[in-house]
This record gives sequence, C-alpha cells and structure tokens, in this order.
Amino acid sequence: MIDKMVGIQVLPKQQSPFERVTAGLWAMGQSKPFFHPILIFIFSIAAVALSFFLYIYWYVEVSAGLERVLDRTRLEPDQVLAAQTWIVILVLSILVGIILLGLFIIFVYNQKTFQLYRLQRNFINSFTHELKTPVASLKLYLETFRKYDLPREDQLRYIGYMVDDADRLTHNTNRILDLAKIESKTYGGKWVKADLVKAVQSFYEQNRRLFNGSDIRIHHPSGRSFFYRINPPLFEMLLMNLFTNAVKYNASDVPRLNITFEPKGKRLHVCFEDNGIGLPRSEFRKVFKKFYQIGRSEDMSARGTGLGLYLVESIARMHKGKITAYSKGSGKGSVFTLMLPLKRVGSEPNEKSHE
Amino acid sequence: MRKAMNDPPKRRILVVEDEAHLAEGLKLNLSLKGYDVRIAENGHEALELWKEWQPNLIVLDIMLPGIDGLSVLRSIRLEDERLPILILSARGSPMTG
Repeated sequence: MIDKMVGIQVLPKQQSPFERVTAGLWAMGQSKPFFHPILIFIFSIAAVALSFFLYIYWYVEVSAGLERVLDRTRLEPDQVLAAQTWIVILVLSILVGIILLGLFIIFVYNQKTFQLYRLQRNFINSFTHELKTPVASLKLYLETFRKYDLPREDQLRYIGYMVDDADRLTHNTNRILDLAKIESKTYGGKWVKADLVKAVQSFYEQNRRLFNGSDIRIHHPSGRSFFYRINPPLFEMLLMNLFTNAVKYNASDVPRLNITFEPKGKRLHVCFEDNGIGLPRSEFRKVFKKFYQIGRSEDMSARGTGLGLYLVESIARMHKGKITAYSKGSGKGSVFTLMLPLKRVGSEPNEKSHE
Repeated sequence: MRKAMNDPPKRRILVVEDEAHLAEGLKLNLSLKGYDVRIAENGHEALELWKEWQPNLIVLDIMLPGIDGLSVLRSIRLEDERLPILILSARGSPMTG
C-alpha cells in the first residue's frame, strides 16, 4: 500500500487530470511490487501442497491411534474406518486439485490484466502525444498570426498546416470513436452483398486525394467477382487503415501498394503488399493486439494510437475472415493478407446477374 | 551574411524536432526574431548539423525517432559543456534543461 502511494506521488506534476487519474490506477504497475507475482504463486502452491500432505499425515496418525485405542478396549475392529481413510484422501485430493486449478486461473487472469494495464498505459502515453502535437502546432501558428502580420502567401501556407493539424485531431478522435463503436457493436450501416473488387476500387476512387503521390494498384488476375456480405462503413474503415499504414510507414520516394485478389483453395486471399519499412518476424502477430505499437512508448519512438490494426483484425473477424501480417524483414515492405472463406455460389461470376 | 563587416553575424539556432509543422512554426518565429534557423528532423541530423554548422543554441525535442533527444544531449555535453540547449518536453510545454 505504501508502495502504491509512493508510485502516485513521484509522478511528474505537468499532467492533465485524466492522466493523473489513470496514472493512479496504474501505480501498481509503475512501482515495484514487494514480491513478484510468480513468487507469490509458487509460495501459495507450496503452502497448499504442504497443508494437503499434513492433513493426510495427521489423519492417518489419528486413525492409527484410534485403531490402537479400539484394539486396547477390545472392541470390534471397525472395517469401515480403513475404507474411510481412502475416501478422505480422495476427497481431499479433489478439493486441493480444485484449489490449485483456481489459483492457476487467477494467476493467468492476473497476468493478462497486468499486460492490458501496461498496454493501456502505452496507449495513453502515445495517444496524448498524438493529440497534443497538433494542438501545440495549431496554437503556435495562431499565436504567430496574432503577433506578426505575415504576407498573405505565407499565411495561406500556414493555414494549410493548421487544416492538416485539425484533420489529424479529427482522425485521432474518430479512431477512438471507431473503437467504441466496434466494441459496443453499435456501428451503423447495413450488411449488404457486394463485390469486394468493386468495393476496393470505389474506395480508392473516392479517397484518391488522400494518397496523392503514392502508387496504388488493384489487381485481380482471375477476373472474377467475389461477392460477400459486407458492412460498407466497417469495410471502408479496414481499407482506410491498411491503405494509410502502407503509405505512412513508408520511407520510399514513391510509396507503393499492390492489392491482389487471389482465390487460394477454399479461401480468397486479398494481399496488400507495400514497399514500406516492413516489420520483424517477432511482430507479425503482435501488431494486431489492442494498443500494441512497435517501438517503446517511453521514448516515444512509437507513433499513432496502436489501434489501427486491432480494428482491422476485429473488422476482418466480423466479416468471418482473418488477417495476417508478413514481411521479408525491416525495410523490405510488408504484406497484409485478408483471408475470407470462398463460397462456391457467392463467388461465381453469374451471381452478378442475380444481384 | 557573416562576411559583411557592418552587419553583425546572425546567431544560429538549431531546431531539433521531428514534427514538421512544429519545427516550421518554431523556425518561423525565431527567424522573425532575427535568428538564423535550421531544422534537424532526427538525432543523427542534429548531431551532424551541430558539428558542421556550430549553432549558438539548440532547441531539442526529447521524443525523436532513432536517437532520442536525451542521447543527443548527452553526446553534445560530452564535447561541449557550455552550449545552451533548450529542451522541449514530451508534453508540449517548454522547460529549460
């Protein structure tokens, strides 16, 4: 308890009330616990095992003493007593087994919660940065305008920056709203049957201006249509995340994104292949975790909200599909593959006429 | 500029900031105040410009991709103990360091 209090007090003073409240919650994680959870876990298991052993030992001793008493008093040696010893041992074993199992489950849950706390802390750190940077920039330009009379040309350029900053703020707040919508399942939009190839194409047409200067191509060598029940707003959210990631995490002069529709066995593979910074093998699965970001949050080498790919994965699952990440290594681009079950009927080209 | 005798040399300020908008805004303000300002987007660039350009003051962001601000600060302090360095804190409000 004292440890927790210290954890709260040593926090820097320049924090928003929101941060202070959340930091208080995580003081447990920030300060060093007295004992490591694993140590506590091992001790409790040892204690339970020892008490189990002692119970049986004493029980056997007591019954042996009782038998001796029975012998001495020349009463009929009770047959039931021997049988009962085994029942008692069996019942005790089962009970101890349940206790151990319970301990183990609590331990696992505790570890998971702890992990989530840590991820959430990272999230708060990087997300406040994502919110404060555009605000700081906006404020800086507004104050500059108040102080100096800049030529119209310059003004327009800086106003352009401010619009970008406002867009960035909108984007970040929308990301949180998206998360809330998906988690509470209150997303709007109807589920409609649509051709995925067309959906991706029209998405790109509508948002082309966002990806100016990058080379985005959609290939579907089979020439078939792939009909799926999709939720257009959600599906667009998924595409927006994959498109933006390909361009954002990209150090090439011309960011490239190739989208390929490929039926493979019983699945349709939609590959999003970019020439971006790639990712190491150890991160292939982790990038889809909620709040997860490559890079540490302490030194702010991580950027963004850590929610994009989590949203992508959730949306893929809602569409009965899944998504995987692959990369040949750092700097060699990455491939995100959306896999959806290939329905025989739904994927036939003549299905188009029925729609 | 510095060659002209009657015009005093402009003081040089190196702004180390990876957020382009913030960097430009700082440059704009400092330039309007009459300083010669250059921007470094990351730790590497900062160290390079510090050696080559020899600024009179460094405005340093702590959160940088690659080499972070504190490492940059340490590297500079090993060789130059007197160069004033202004740290921009992680939370967007300025503090001296």
